Amino acid sequence: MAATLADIERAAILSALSFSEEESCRLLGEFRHILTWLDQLLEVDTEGVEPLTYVHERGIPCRADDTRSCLPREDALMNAPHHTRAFFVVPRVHRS
Amino acid sequence: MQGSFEALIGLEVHVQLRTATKAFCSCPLDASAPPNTLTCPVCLGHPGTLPVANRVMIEHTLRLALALNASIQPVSTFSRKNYFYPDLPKGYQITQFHDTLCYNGRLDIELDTGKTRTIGISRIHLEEDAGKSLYNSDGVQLDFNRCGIPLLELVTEPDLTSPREARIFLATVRQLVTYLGISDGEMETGSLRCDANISVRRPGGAIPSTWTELKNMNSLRNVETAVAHEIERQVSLLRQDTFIRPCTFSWDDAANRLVPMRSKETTSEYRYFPDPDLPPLTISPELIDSIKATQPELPAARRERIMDRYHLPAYDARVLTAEKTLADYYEQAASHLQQKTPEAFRLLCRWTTREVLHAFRKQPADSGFPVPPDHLAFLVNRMLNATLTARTAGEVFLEMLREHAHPREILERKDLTQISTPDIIAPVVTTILDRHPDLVEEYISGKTALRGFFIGEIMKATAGRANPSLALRVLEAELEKRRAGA
Ligand SMILES: [Zn+2]
Repeated sequence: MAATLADIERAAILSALSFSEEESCRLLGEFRHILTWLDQLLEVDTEGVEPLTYVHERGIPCRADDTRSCLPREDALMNAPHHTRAFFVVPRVHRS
Repeated sequence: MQGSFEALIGLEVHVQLRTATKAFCSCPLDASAPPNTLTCPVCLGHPGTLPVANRVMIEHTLRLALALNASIQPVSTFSRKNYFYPDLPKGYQITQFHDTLCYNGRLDIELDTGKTRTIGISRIHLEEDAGKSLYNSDGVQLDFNRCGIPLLELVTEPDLTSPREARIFLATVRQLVTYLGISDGEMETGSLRCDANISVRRPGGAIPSTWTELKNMNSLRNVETAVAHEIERQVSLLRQDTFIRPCTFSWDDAANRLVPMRSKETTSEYRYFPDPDLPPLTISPELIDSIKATQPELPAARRERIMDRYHLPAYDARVLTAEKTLADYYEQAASHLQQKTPEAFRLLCRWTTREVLHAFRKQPADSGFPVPPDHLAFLVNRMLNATLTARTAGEVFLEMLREHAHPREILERKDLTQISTPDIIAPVVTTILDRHPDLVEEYISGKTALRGFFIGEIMKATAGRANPSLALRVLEAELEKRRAGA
């Protein structure tokens, strides 16, 4: 089943993005191309093959609940495009 | 309830775990720290960093699972829940989705009628908290101190059938986590949060397919009220044969109403997948055994023990154990009692559950008990050895609340100790009888009820400090002397 513009629109909503009509058309082409490639992957016979989630069998390493020093605030904020002296600042989105 | 409909309520409870550090990095937890001073490259989601799980958060979760008789998975996994909010610097939250740490538990709740109901717990899992967003006109300010704090999520079966039951369930969870010592359980500060899923049906009908979700109920009272509002709304829609649409509501406490949340905020595709940074979490039987061996006393057991050890009725034991801190307070005070008698334990209980609890509830939250337990025990000891009347003790207690001083100090300063020596009371009695010769005559001629009047006068003259039984003895002796002399 070929992807449609409605699928692009839904993916955009779920990704909190918005596209112009022109962009959507271009993305639809790319999207279809990717899906064709996935269809090709699905042709591989995986009957009886256990999914491999982790590459080794070792369990999770845990750490003791001991505190370590944190980043100085100036350093923590340094890479942010926008910040005040105390906060990271981002544009307002829909949640209020 | 609600005529011919019954409600099905499921709760999702988030418990902030009491650990020293965050879930996957070594940043400390401190709600009072200045914004963005408790972060590191891991919880800020810098590239090239790796999360390492906190052992204590896992132990805390196992503690709760054991208390809820839940099954513990020998192998569980952490997943990424992807969503786009600025409060998540990584762009995903680490949580458990496919294989949660614990599942299939149960919790008994005690209803107002005294009956017990068992509520199913479908799963208990671990996840990390997001940062805090502060909205203002310029944009959104973000504080990541809270980002990465360990949360435990507990999801019930839709076994709760009324707003009251939902509230009692949450209160019981709160009691349990504080007894286990795994959380402070404060709803006001967000250590305990709760969402509800609600549906209604005709009794015996099929499980409904449409549910609504309630969020932001940040007190026990709000949970009860918000759930009641939503049940009422659904029932009235069904009465009009109107279709119920799935929706998420936020409880607006100030306006006392449910506000629908915009669908954009709730439409989501989280694209869960196992976090490649975190290998599977394996729980050994040895770890479970060691947690079992160090499990603290739970509320029901403590109530039984308190009834038994202090000779208290079930009702008092329930009041004392409702909050762990109050039970601790009582037992500490009891250790300072000079007489370990049922009478002493009951008197202490009465003072703890009335005076102390009353004063405690009137003061701002978080300020601890108004009077140290040994100070209360001192007061009770003095009442028991009859060197303090209950009335004076009440006055001293008020002073203790006001001045935070030791009762001994207050008594010395105010000279409020009970008068228990006949030498002091005798002259008082003589003076009073001399002042009322007519009444003394009436008493002698048989009107013995006047004894009460004389006692009242003695108490007035000594500001209530006279030991009542001694005063009576001295009074009767003096009246007897006057009868003989008449
Ligand atoms: Zn950190």
